[in-house]
Amino acid sequence: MGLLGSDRRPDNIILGKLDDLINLARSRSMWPLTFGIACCAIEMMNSSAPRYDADRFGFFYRNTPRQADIMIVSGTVNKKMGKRVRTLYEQMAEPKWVISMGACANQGGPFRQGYSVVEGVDKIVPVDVYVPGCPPRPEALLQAMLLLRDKVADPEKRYIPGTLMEADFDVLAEPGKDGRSL
Amino acid sequence: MSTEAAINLEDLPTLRQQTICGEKVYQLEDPTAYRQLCERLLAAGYDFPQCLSGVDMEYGLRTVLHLRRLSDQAELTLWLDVPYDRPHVPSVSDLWGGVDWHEREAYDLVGIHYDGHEDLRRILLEDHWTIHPLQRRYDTGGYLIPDWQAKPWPDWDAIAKEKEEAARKAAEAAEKRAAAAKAKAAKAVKPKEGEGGAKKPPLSEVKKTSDQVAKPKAAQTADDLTKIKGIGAHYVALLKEQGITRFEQLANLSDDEAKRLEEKMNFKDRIAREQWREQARALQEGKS
Amino acid sequence: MSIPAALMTGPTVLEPVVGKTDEMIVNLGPQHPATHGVLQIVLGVDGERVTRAVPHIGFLHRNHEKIEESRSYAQVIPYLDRMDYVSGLQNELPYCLAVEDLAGLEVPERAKYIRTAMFEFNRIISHLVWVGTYMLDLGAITPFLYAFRDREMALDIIERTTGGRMLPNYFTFGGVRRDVHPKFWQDLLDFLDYFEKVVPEYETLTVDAPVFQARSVGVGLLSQELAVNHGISGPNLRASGVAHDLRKDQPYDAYPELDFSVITRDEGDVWARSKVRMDEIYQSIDLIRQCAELAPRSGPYLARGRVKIEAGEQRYRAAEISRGQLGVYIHSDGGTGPYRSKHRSPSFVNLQIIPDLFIGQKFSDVIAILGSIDIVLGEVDR
Repeated sequence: MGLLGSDRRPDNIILGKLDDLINLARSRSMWPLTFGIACCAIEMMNSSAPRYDADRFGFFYRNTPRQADIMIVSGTVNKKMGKRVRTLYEQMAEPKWVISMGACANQGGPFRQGYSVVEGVDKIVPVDVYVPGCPPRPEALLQAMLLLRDKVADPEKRYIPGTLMEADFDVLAEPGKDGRSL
Repeated sequence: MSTEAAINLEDLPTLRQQTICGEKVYQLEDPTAYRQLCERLLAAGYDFPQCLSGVDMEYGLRTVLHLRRLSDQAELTLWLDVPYDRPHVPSVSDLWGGVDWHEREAYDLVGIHYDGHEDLRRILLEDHWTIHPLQRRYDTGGYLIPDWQAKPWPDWDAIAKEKEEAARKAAEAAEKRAAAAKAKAAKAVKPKEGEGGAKKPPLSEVKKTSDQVAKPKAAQTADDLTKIKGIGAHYVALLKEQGITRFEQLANLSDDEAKRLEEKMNFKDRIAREQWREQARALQEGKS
Repeated sequence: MSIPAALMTGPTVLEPVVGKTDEMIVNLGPQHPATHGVLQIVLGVDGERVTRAVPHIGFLHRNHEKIEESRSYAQVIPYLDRMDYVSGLQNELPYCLAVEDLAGLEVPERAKYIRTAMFEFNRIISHLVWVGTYMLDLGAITPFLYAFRDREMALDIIERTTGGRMLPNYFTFGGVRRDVHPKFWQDLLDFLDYFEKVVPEYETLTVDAPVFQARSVGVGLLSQELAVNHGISGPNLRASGVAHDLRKDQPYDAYPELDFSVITRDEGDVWARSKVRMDEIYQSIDLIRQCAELAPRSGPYLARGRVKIEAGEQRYRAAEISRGQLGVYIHSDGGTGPYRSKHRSPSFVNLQIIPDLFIGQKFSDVIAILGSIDIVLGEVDR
């Protein structure tokens, strides 16, 4: 862990940056947004239910984007929904992270090449962790959460606020009448 | 059927009834009669709207309405074709509330306009979009091309037959050669096994039946071929094109003839599977 | 940075009506934990009463029907799982029945029982998700934890046989794709023995709980005539006193051999719809036990035959899944895949009723009514 591995002195004195300490605290209590889109949302619910219990890692679902740190995009994002996903992402307070869950959110999945499906949510919001699977098992989502936790606590990968990705809004436009505009 | 008779359908123009795959299908060719027919069907107790689909038929757009009568679970299918340049169908969403969104969906994806619908907006796609993606002419730009449709079905019967013949070897091979020769009527038949040859009818007989098939005698009246299980109105018409209108003709078909007929009418293996010839023979005996 | 204005032409927003008291426009969704997915409802509220309700769907439209046009008959089946993802296996059955009808395939006896048992087992799983999420909407967290605890055990049994948890791609034309796990029937019976003792707990927490009854009795009344005319199906229709169940009225697979009766209630309110679902869990337990008793333990699980569908043939087949009548309309042009396949999903039709149910109700009952219809948005939008 970044902070604990830094300059240690006797009598349990650790010298480090305050940012690293804050990030360590953040990584132990990350609140995802309750934002189920499709099939993966059921597995997302499973991951916080008994047996998998994501709460023990400090992942506690919040219903409003204003209180959430992570957005788990769990399902197919289509062109109609893409704008809402972006709006929700912009409504979240910084710092914020995104987990793309399942094949659909990663690149369109089985519904790729359709007229209404965005081929990967990373065209709209910046994604930190991709989880493969259709749908991924709850264990896979838990692993993604732990990977994200390590990323948050790692001083090397510190979150720089105010660097929002420019979204590729062309992917949300209507396909041409005689074909796709993509 | 008594329940069907209760609905007075005679005065409705351009109404056709047919049975496809055991389903009773009413086909309308005139949109003006559609609304009238639907009102009568509702009055006749078809109270449960099951489904309304829009289908692009490549010559026009088709509305398919599936109704159910909860009192006796009778099902009914209604087709209405409209041309591409005038895709207007009267709405029936005020008769059955359940087809409301189905009509909106058919408008959205297939592009059929339902006149008289209270709220005909796009439902799945966005309001300002203009495409109707489930129309066949909607070009997906190289994606999702139905290339599977273009491929014909593999000829499993031929494959199975080949295997069989490879196992049986000589006798069957000789019969096949003989059959091929006979069909072409060019090369001499090479009779190898007596058994194989005996199965085949003599050449003259085959010729006779084929003549019969080609030119049926006008004096003989046509039989109701739909009595044979497996033959519907569609196939009666197809058979008539091939000159078959009577049980006798069907019953006397040789294997060769049947095969050729199947190839022409594009229903592989059906004559043997559904035992048309046996059925026809029984019906013929019953008649005479 | 923000979204370009040209893209922000969202669904029609209601204009408030100015009258005695001003109408307030409240937007529900598409990101709302109680809409069970991405459903948007624009509500007009006058004080505590709902005056208008306009549902907007299509936020999960994944062009199922367009994709299916370009797939072969067998390639369509995995897509069907993803329509109603809560009861994935059940979606495959109507399509398989329709293709079997068209191709003239006979399902072996053993496969019929396996399919029926799996079908009913999925009904239990689906109703468990309903109990959990619906009670969560109404503010009770405990039923969610109980329901998902038991659901995990049920999913394990499905996973042991099919290899998949939620979307197993298991049924196929003429039977099932692979044989059941050797301990399948024993696992099922063991689970049911345990589960039967737990269901009364759910009942105590839901339909028998005074708090729930206070919120549900007499709320969201759906009359028999309105339900039939709007094509409502499943527990919603049966809770309004219509004994329509395709398992009984148009039996498929092993249902003709099973002994059961259609569960109905006459009240037609939120409580009745919940009660019907709870009773259906008991019914499913009983049906699976009958299947386990009657099913042959050996024999083929898949019919030998080929799927070949002639041009111009068409079929509509439906089955009673946990949410109602799921139908599929297949039109063939003689190719190796469906020319057009339209899915009549129960949630799509059931959702049409919400303006009728909402208007005049208290605003806080909106969630209670919406949850009692039990929709899955994957199926609504397809």
